[in-house]
Amino acid sequence: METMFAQDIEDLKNLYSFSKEELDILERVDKAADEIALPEFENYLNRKVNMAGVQIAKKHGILGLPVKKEYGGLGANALVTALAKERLGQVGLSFSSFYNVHVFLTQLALQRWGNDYQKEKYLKPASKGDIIMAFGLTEPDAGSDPSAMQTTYEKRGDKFVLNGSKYLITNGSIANNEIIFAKSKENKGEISAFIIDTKSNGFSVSMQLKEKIGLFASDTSMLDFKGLEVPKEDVLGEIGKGMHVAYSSLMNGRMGVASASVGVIEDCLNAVLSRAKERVQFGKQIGKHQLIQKHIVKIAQNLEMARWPTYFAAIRKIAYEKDPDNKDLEREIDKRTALAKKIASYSAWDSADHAVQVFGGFGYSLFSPVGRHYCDTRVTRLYEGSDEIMELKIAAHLLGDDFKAFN
Amino acid sequence: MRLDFNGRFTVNVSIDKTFAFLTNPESVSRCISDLEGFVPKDKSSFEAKIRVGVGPIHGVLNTQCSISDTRPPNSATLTIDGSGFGNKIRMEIKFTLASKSEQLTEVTWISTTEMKGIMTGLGEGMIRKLSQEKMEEVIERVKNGAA
Repeated sequence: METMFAQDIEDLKNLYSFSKEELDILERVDKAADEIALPEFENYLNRKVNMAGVQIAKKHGILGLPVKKEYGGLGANALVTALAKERLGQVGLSFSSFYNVHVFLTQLALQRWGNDYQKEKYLKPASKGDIIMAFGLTEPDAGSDPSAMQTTYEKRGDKFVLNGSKYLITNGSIANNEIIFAKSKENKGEISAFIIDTKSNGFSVSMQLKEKIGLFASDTSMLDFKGLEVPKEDVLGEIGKGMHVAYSSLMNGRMGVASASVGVIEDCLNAVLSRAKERVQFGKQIGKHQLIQKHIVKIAQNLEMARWPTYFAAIRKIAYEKDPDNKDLEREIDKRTALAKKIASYSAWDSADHAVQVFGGFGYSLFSPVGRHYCDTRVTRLYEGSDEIMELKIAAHLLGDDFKAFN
Repeated sequence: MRLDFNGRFTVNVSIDKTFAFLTNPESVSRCISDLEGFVPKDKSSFEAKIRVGVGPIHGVLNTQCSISDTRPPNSATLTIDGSGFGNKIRMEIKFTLASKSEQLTEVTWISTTEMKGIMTGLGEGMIRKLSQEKMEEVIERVKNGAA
């Protein structure tokens, strides 16, 4: 098992008692991560979606990790899932972003809000990796404020008809099915969630965003819906309650981003420790230069700052998963995941910057793992809720609802 | 970057034949994967051009290979020392042979690789995995070749 990952599990044994089954799951994820690393690297440099990584994850049976066994998953709790995501984050944030959307944002939404028909039709094949899922909330003019979305739906007979666009959709062009949010044409302000089939008439991919500044092995697309028909059976959750689905999904997504960010920091630390011992300048290993040691310590500090709030949020989320209607727990998890995401994503970005500095010129290259992390981590401070949204959320939790910046 | 691997296998061949295979430059060179050129120098050394790389980073290493520390029929060490496209690599594989029966030999191997240069910047995890795969490939060829 990868050393730092194994150390995290050992550290956590002081707080949590892992079952043999859970340790086996983590072993399985570790093996999958080892195999995913090479195609992730090759696809990253070729700017192609890492579909080989998806197949490897499918082969190892980890594409439905937190999903209940009855729906084809492994039934891992939030802490085991967070550790798994951390290990995948070490490999790179491209595959990790695919995983975050396919598992955290969509499958967990289907598990929480889906009916039996939807769980059978979508959740089971998604957890096995037979279908790929995407999540469409963001639009060109609706990012941090999803209520400003322009995509509409209207009821026609026993179907709903969607028109509009979604932007910056991870897995958008590779997914078989997507959870899409739209606003009622009749009842302005009412937002609903729909499970759409990407083979349906009226669905098209209008752009694959290749000009990103990172995540080169991940698919990011713009989608168009023109008279896209969705059967009424494919409304996810109650009609008009789509934002409940969206917010709970984003909470799960934030845990995923926080955990993956911890993985990135670990990979940066690992990389700089090797580099500092191997690279010789001015006649001695660069690790013996104290200014290099300062960068290493900063990354180590970041790791400690990031991993414990993430693990604690995950541990508390275990209780919430057992009692999902408990509003007090929901509020606590909302705050803890926001804190974990804010701290871990910023720390990962900062760590990648320090790691590039230790690597020198070679770090300023996509050949080096730290160079890739440097490009990729910037987006973790934006997606699944920007730094600013996390701050407003945390402040409102601390000050009280009267101080909420938005509703 | 230092990479250590080891393992053990058996071949259905006598210890003498196994030793002869492992100390013959021509037969040993056939076990090196992605060999692009082989020039024998003497009974225990040769030059080899070996293609190495990962993804878009690949090139050819010019190497000097030698078989030393030979203690017939029990042990020998293969050393591959090379450089190319900004990398330096030195690999040693020590083979220790034990006769299990007339036609069965157990081979224990220990390899140590020292790498410097561009490839090391790819990250230890990836390099370790790739090296392990390559080493398994070489050992598999030794196993099949000796048999």
